[in-house]
Amino acid sequence: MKNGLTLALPKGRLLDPALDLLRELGVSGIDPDSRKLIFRDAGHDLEILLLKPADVPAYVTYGAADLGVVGKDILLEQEPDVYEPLDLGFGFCRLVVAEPRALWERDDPAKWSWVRVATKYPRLTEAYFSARGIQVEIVRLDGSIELAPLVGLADRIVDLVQSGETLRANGLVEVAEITRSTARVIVNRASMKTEHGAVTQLIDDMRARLGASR
Amino acid sequence: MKPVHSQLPKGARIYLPDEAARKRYVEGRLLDVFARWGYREIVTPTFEFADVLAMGTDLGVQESMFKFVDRETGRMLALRADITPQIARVVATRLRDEPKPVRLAYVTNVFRHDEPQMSHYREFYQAGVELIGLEKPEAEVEVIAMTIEGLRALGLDRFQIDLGHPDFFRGLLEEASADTARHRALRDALARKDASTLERLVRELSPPPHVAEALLALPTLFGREIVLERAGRYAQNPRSTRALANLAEVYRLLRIYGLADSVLLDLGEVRGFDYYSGLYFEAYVSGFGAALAGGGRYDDMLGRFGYDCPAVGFAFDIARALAIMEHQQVPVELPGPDFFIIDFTAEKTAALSLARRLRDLGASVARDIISRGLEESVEYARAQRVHHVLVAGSPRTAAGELLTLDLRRGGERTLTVAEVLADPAKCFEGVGGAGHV
Repeated sequence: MKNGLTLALPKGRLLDPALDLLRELGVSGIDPDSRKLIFRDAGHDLEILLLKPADVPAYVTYGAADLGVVGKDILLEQEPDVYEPLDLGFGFCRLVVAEPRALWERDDPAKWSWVRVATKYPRLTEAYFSARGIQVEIVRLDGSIELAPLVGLADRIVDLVQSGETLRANGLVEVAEITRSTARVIVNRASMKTEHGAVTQLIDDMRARLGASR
Repeated sequence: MKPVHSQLPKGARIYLPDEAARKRYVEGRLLDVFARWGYREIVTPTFEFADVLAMGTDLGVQESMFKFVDRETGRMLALRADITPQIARVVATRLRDEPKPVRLAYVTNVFRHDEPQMSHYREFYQAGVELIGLEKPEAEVEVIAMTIEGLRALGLDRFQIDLGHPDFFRGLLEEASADTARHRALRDALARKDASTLERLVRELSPPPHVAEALLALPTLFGREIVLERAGRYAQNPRSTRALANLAEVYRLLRIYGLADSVLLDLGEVRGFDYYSGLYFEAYVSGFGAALAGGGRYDDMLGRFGYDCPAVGFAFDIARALAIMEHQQVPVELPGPDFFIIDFTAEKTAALSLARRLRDLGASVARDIISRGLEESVEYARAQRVHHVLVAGSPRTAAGELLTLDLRRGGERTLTVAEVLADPAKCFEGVGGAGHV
């Protein structure tokens, strides 16, 4: 049985701001450049796991981690049964439908009845199109989504954009916004009850820290 | 020949003998608790007419019912997805005139076409009770106390009972006059304690300021007794006020029972919203992200079957209890036969008479039918968790004698068949008494 809390962090773009926040709270001993995946901060009795972003919800849902930091995009896609008490505010991005400029120039989204879309977000994509009465054929990819329209794998893509630079570089144009995302703190349902004091304290500390830096 | 592995449909599961023994142990411990509180077991049909089952069942659960056609009538049948509406109907029709309260217990399988997760399969097992005919808060306290006793009977620690009351939130919704869609969105955000979405929704709804403040506070109205005090400031409508008074009374009684330490108040918990008319609770154990037991008050349930009568109840999820016990490494003693008789003589009379004599005294006795060496037989007995091995006709003993091995405590003795037959209890401690040898 563990004491203390376990916090799952996503590798990738949310890691640096998450680590900055933890450092401000005095948590130390995490070296993201080492090949280690588990770190301990004995002072705070905190264990940190470094995971692939899409794996964070599973660790928290099943209680392998009490808390996690993860993008809202992933929460919307996976709908894990966890609490998400805190919006960290950083890691802002948007999930959009995009297509090649040439197609966009003659395209009318109001006339879509059937589309083929390449994406990492099959559930959100399906929900978005079916709510509009559009049949969607989904090509599930794991990365380099922008490539799909260029090689004829799919006409359109649904993907995250931050600045829009990647879309532009690949000759793609945004057609519609599906949702927006920022980093969230998620909490295992049992941990919220059985480790109530420690969990609430950590979240309150984070909230106070975010409030102070805004 | 290659074994034929049959494919199981998704959500069906097999309990192999050791797992089945653990499952039976959990069910037995819980039924013991229920019996000690004066509850009597009830058994309801596995399938019924779908429309009848649907009468007492949430829409969401209705959609997950397994359905098929009755060959007699052509009507739709369904497997039960929840036993409470069945029991409610039985009480409303067949037990209507029984003196109240009625205390009923059950262990049953339930079927839902859900995505299997968190040890939850499409066929799953529940053990629970219904306490019917009491509207006083003592009823809630009784079932909460039983839930805690059940958790302890399973050897679990580090658990919390999460206590909520949907009427606190319902009262606020009425004050905010939220439409169904808004209401649904607010609930979804609350269920996730998602403060930022809640903030946006409340801003869009723009209810009176004190209601806005209350709605925004809901995710944090969570903890020990102080929550009642904080929530009191927000309760300005009769419904929310009554809910708080009810929670406070139940909490007071739980303190008298000495159980308040195991309880957390959570006014932002809205998961049981559709099902419960009043106070409800869920039991969580550290390290497992889903509730393993839950219950509460459903005063409207019997009314759906034409009999207005208050009711409370709860159920344990057996598979989750098993998963948590494994996680907490709760030792469960798995049963094996008390005796295993190996008879090397041609006539086998010793084996037959010993087995009969010991079984008559209530001991469990297995016999080695296969001819094999003593060592192999003992190995088999060990794998079966046998307590005593009795060997007749061993080359090491004379005619009429038995070699006996105690596989649990170790040691071997030589006894005569005659003395064991004459007084088994003298030879083997516990035979003829209660329980195992």
